[in-house]
Amino acid sequence: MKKTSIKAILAISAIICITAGLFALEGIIPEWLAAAVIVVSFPAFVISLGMYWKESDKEGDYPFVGY
Amino acid sequence: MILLYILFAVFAGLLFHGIHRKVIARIQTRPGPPIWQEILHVLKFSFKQTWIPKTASKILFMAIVAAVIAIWSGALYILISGGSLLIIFGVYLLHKITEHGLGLSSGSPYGKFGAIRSVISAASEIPLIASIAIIYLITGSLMISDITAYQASNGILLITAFPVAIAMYIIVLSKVPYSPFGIIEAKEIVSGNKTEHFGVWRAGLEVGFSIKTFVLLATFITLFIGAMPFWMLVLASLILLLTMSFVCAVTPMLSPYDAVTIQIAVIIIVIIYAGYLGVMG
Repeated sequence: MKKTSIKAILAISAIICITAGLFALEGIIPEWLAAAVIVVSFPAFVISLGMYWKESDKEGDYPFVGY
Repeated sequence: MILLYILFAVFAGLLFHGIHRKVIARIQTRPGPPIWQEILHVLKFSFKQTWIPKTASKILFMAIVAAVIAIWSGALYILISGGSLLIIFGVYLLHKITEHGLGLSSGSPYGKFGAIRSVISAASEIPLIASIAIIYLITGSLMISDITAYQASNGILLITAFPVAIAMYIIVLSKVPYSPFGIIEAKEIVSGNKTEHFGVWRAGLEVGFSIKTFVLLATFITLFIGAMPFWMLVLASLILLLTMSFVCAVTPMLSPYDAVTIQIAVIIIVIIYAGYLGVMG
């Protein structure tokens, strides 16, 4: 995946997480709805953050299958 | 608030894993790593070169990492909001499926062995079902808020339902790192079902597993000791983890056969206790 796409996913998931949390705090949306939104977007944030940080891309290799 | 709880659970869970490793090491007269080692591990994995093995099922390989984080984040919300114990039980079962999928997704034989062992260790779910059923028989509800309210007026379940607490303790013990029941990641199969998830994938998994550890420990405390301020819940969870660290330090990794035998023995104890409760009203 391209670095720009990863950056976009990272930003969008972070904004969704924070917005849902703030909206729930202000009472704009119910807490369960905020939790549901965060449960979906938080993993995307964690993985895209790692993908954004990671050293480099490389083509997939075959796993070690023993001697 | 849920976002803050999730972030806290990630940090606390990783720190718990580090403390767990440190305690095990000190009992075994080794210096052990610093307690923040698991946090450093996650950061280290995040900056590693990452790819998907050629033999992997690409979508499953990636999705399983997101699933682990998502299901335990959801379980944390259910616990904090005093929701249904059945949903946490459902998450535990989903976790079993993610363990299986994790091992199968990479195409590595070691991952597959781990996945197969996760099916064998499904025996641990039966004490969980029995425990939840008995908690319902005693308290008349499966809502965590009702169970804590029951304990406030009738005494803590750790004393009044001690066999159930033992069964649940073994269930939580089977899910902490370096557990004698941790047959799915035994060293003879490298890292078991996690073998081919490296770099960013492993960092994501560790984040999910840290939330899992925090949720399971906090659930045990809430179910058997009752409601308490959050800081006290964290402290009690840490003390509970320390007792498990002692068990892990002095107990070798069981063979799959022995692990299942012990879990079945626990089921028998819980069933006898359920019968006793039924007869005595």
